Parts: sequence; structure tokens; C-alpha cells
Amino acid sequence: MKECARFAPRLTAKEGELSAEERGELERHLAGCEECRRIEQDLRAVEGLVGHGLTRAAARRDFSGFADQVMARVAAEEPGPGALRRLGAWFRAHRVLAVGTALAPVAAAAALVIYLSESGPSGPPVGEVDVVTEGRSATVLRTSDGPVVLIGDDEPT
Amino acid sequence: MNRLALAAALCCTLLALPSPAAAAGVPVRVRVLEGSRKGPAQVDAGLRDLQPQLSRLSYQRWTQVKEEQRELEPGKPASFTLPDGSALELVIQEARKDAVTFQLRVPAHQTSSRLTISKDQRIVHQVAPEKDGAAVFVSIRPWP
Repeated sequence: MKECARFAPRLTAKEGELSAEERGELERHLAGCEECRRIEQDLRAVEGLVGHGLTRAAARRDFSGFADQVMARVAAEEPGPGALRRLGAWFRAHRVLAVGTALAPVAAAAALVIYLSESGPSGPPVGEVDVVTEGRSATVLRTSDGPVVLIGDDEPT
Repeated sequence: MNRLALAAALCCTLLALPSPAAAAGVPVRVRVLEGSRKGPAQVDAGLRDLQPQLSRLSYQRWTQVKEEQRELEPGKPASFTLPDGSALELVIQEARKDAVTFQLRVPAHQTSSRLTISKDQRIVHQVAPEKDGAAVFVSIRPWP
């Protein structure tokens, strides 16, 4: 049994896993040990069943187009310039904020234009009256409703 | 992003367009009045809005001779005929949001005035010397 225990790990060894010396020792032991031959046959049978089952499961799966799908995903996720790609993703994720941010300078420019157009040139102040009468006197009365301008009766000289 | 750029361009274009208010003229109401020292104290019903200004003067009887309303474009003179046949030339020198500057000239009487008033004010201006106790005035009101 001590010999059997030593050779047990080698019973399921695949082709090339054992050296020629190890393979020779195992074959000599199997030739003289019926129990180990039975165990080795059982293990080979189980191994064959598992392999066969996996092969059948794989065969049921349709792998046609698998490579194309993988390549399509690789192409879709092709990294562009990092900063631009991240900026684009951010814009797509925050559309409202992005639009607001983009329109803010436009709104500021509009407010400035409106302010400038409404304030306009300063011009003469309200209530300023400049009367020129050749040879006649002029009187300006200021009221809250507006100015009243009187011209004198004296004839021009 | 293309739509966003399009929207921004549209906003800028709209802002760059001249506003209708800026392109249009200023409506101006011009009334010709006669003030007299003779007769009973009376003011025509149509001149009640001028009462605060007319009451400052020594004329007791006020009559409206004519009235005209025109849309004046800044810088373009408009001519109005006065009862004595002389011409009143009126020019809007500058129109701002709440104020307007008028140039008023009566060449026949060597009178020229420049007056700036706010939107809610009106000008009462004598345009001919007093004769036989009566004088001719005009009242000018923008955006009546």
C-alpha cells in the first residue's frame, strides 16, 4: 500500500507530464498491482466523461460571429484623446448644466448689449433748456410737468 | 453639441439685429395754443393736462388752435404751420429710453431752443411775441 500511495498522484498524469523514468516506474507498478490498475481505469473513465461533457456543452453554444462581436466592441471603445472623450461623456451626462454653462456667456453678452443700448450715450440731462432768441429776452419756467418758455415782446435790434 | 452651437449662434444673431423700437420714430403730439389776457378766464377742455404749466403764466384764456400728431425720426426735421403763417421746425436731436431732446426753431421770429425732457413731460413754448394781449404757444409731448 505504501507503494500504491506513492504512485497514486501519477495515475491521472497527462502525456508529457512524467519523465521517462517516472513513467517506467509507474508502468512497472501497474503491471504488478491490480488495485491501482482498476483505480487508474476508473479515473480515466471519469476524465473522459468530463471532457466529453464539456465538449458537448461547448458545441451547443453558437460561437459564430464571436470574433466579430469582440472586435466591434474593441473598436467602439477605442480610446480617443482622453480629455475630449471625458468632456463629451460629461456633456452627455449633464445636458442641462452643459447647455446652461454654454448659454451663460451669451446671456451675459445680451445683458450687456441691452444695458448699453438702454443707457446709451449720456446726452443732455433732463430739464436742460437752451434758448436762443436774437434780440429778444427769453424766460424759462421749470415745472414738474416740463419747461415753459416765454419770449419777450421787445423787437429784435 | 451642434444644436447647442446653433442655438448660441441664433441668440447672437437676434441680439445683433436692430430692435424695432430703435428703428421706429418717436410719436410726438404738437398742439398750437393761444393765450389771451382778455375775456373770461377759461381753459379749453382739451388743454386740462397742460393746466399746471399754463397756470404759471399771466394769460387767463387758453384756446387750442390746432393739433397734430406725427412720428418724428431723430435727426429729421418736421415743419408745422403756425396761425400767422410762419413755420415751426421741430427736430428730435436725441431719443433715449426715457428722455428726448428737441430742437425747436421759428425762423420768422429768430427763435431757437434746445430742450431735453423726460418721457412723461411736455414742453410749452411761446413761438410768437405777444400781440394785442395774446400770444401763440405750442405744446410738444413725445410718446403721448
